[in-house]
Amino acid sequence: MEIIHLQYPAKQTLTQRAHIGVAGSGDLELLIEPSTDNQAYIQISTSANGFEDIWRAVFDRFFKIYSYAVKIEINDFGATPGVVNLRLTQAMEVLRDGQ
Amino acid sequence: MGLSIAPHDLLQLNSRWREVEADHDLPEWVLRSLEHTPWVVVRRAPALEGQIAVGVRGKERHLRQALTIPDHLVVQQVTPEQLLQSSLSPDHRSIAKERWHTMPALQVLEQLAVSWKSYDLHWGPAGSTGFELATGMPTLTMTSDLDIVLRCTSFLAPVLAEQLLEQTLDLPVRVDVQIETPYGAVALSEWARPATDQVLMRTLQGPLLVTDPWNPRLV
Repeated sequence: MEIIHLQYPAKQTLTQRAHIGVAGSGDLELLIEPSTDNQAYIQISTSANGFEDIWRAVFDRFFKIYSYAVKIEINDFGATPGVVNLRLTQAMEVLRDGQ
Repeated sequence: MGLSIAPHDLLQLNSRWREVEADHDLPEWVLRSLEHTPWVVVRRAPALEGQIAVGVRGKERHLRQALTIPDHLVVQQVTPEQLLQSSLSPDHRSIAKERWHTMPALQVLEQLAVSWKSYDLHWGPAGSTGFELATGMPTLTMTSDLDIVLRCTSFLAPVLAEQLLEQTLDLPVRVDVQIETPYGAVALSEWARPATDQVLMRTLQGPLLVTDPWNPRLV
């Protein structure tokens, strides 16, 4: 079990909360809520140790494009890269709709 | 052999399973595990004609090994539905009574069988519960989730999905239900309460986002 914290400066505020994905093996869930201080906070709890660099690369790229002030809590139950990718695609869709 | 094999089925292997050593570079625990309990679980992954994609369970949760085996190694196939049937009649139970009294996942399985009885469903246990029921080997722990496979050949109305989901909540262990459609699997919890207009479906070719798991637009 590993917990990873990431933080990014952010501008765009959101109003809604969202729950994406499933807390089940091979999957992950994302809990998204607005952040109030122009920062984005990501917390990843993962059952697969040793992937901090990959998670960081994923969110570095994400927040280079998007600037949402959000708190994202991720509970990862050993999701494959393909599943992670699709869950983030869904998150992006929810964030875009929630602007 | 012409078996009709689906993900989550459990397969008992004959003594020639050691053949797989020749094609795979296997960790020591896999051989020990098969030596002890020569059973594997069918994975959702493509395999060539005459081959089956399977997984081997290790003692610890993180120990899982993917393999491809030739189908002539299979001596017995057990489906989740068969495991449910045999576990519902106490005379046919393969594991000790004491396990039924002490393991929360088994008690929740019994409870769910009662609450889902009035629906016309095809389902059964998978994961560690299925493995223990099929092999008789103590696999469950006090905190094991209950994994369920629910086979739906035709569209499951979200309203019905919500009813079924509600009966899996607030039980002593977490219940993880996968709906199997002819194209792949989606989580019951996601189909009942989708966050977006698409849900994640696991297919032989990998995960996809689809609007209708019974009518996916495959690329």
